[in-house]
Amino acid sequence: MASKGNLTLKSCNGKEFIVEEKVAVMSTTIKNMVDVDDSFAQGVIPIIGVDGKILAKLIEYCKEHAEADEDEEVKSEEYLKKFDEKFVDELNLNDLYDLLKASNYLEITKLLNLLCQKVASMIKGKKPEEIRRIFNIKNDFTPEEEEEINRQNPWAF
Amino acid sequence: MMEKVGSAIKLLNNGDFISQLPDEILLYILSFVTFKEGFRTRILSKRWINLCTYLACLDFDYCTHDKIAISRSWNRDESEKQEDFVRRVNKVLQSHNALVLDEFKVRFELDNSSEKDINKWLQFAFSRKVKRLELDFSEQGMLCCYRTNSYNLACSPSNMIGLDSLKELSLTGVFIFEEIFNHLFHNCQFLECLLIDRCYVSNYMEISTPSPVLKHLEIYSSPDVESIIVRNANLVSLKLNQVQKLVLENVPKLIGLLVCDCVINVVDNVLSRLSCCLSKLEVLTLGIIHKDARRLSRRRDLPQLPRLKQLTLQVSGLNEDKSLLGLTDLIRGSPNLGKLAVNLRWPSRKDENNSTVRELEGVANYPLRHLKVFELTGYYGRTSELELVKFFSENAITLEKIIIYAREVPDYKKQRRVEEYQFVREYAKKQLKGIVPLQVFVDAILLLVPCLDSVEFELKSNKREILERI
Repeated sequence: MASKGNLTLKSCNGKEFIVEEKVAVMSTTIKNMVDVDDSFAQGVIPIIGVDGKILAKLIEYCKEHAEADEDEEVKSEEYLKKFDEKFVDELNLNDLYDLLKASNYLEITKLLNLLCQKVASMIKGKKPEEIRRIFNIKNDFTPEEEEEINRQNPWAF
Repeated sequence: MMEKVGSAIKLLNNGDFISQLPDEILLYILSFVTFKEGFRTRILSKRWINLCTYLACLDFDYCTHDKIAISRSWNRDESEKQEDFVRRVNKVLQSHNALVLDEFKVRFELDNSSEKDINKWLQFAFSRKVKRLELDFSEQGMLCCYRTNSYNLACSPSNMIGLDSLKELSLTGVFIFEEIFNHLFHNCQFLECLLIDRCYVSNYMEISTPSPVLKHLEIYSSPDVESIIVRNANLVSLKLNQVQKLVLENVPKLIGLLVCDCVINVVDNVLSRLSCCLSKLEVLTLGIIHKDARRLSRRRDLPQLPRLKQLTLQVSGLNEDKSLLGLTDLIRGSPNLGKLAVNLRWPSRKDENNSTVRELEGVANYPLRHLKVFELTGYYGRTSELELVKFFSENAITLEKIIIYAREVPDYKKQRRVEEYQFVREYAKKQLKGIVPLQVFVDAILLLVPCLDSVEFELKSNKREILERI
């Protein structure tokens, strides 16, 4: 059991992480759970659908930001910006998606924002074929359908 | 609803993870790209085709047209171009499904012949509780005025339902009757930002208590307004020209002011009108005429600006290389000034060689204890410019940075622009070396050249080429 001020989070594949409460409540979902039901604060909080690897990543992110929120001098805005950049740069596509879904489910707004911007930056300025290639999107239109969509398109590309 | 995340989903897809994301995340992602780019994703796959109809920001911009589209339609006459644009917008709106809009922007040279369509667009936007609305129907590149057949906002008061959600409103090149303006203004209870630019607004505009939340107001070149009355308002920033029409009363929160008129005798004609707010101002931008700069030093009644942190002076009416040091008198009453920017607007071309060779003038020294940044835009290596740089490097004891931007070179050929900038840069380096003290010189960002490759520039030159061909 976690000591006072700490919470235990359990991933869907059974890994347990003991984290400080201020780190865990960066997630609005967890915050609501703890606020509503005291037993969560004592026992183990199951994080449904998030595996250990992703949960570790989430905690890494929340830790940095929770500490920065607490003490601006130790972790400046600039430091956080660099941390964020490095954080998203090191992700492969699979982790990016898993983190997106997890941060959406756990309502970690800052992280969701960061990840969505990352994906957006991969779309920006790219042709449709390029976007499909980057994200492995299968074009399921027939050539006729595609032509029709292009023809109907009110904007010239 | 968030779907359950887990290995089951991974098994189902074949590597296309992004399309498995819920709509809400995909739409959030697309909110970080332009409307055009968001719209373009409909071609990716069947999963994506309808997604763009839920985008909350609609931006129908002249510039978001592809260059090809511009050149293709360039030969057609104006009304055809307009009809074409209106058709495109209508088409998008017909199939748009978003129930709530954050933003609705139209920027195109539309006139009153498209009135019915524009009214429908407004109805569309207001019924979806739009938060930011921008209509810019001004003619591209026209700085002066509305046209006689400008879109007439007056015709459609019935459209003005659902204004409660509006936080930002920006109208450019539109015809607004006084009563419509009042109606609009009084019904937008939550309006925070209002911009009116090159609009015809009949008679007078009064901005007062009905909108207690209005924080930012910008009014430019609306020549038929007789007076602009701003009173009892919680404004934080105000930007305008035509300052002579301004009546300013009881604006206790105003800390930012931009006045871009260049009126003769800035002290009596401009600053005196603003006297009620000067003592609280933190940011001020002022247009000033070169001749005035010399008169300033003789005056004993220059205003005190005790809280001013940032001052920008836009100097026009320059035609001789006479001293600009009079400008420094304006900051004597601003002991807390941290940044001063001087923007010199030399007339183009024919006056290029009016630099005089003379001894550098000086003025009585007085220490500036807070000035950290001095920025000079429009540098061309004239004696008057050097004098200014010298003054601040000698008197501003806390100066950290001198930023100098070279004058825009009025030549359109890119190669020549580059060469000319390089020349000016080298020349200025030599000139400034003896004048600027070493420790500042090291930190100084010298002659940042305006970006030559900007899309806008390319677009302009593209337009020009096409025109030349015709």
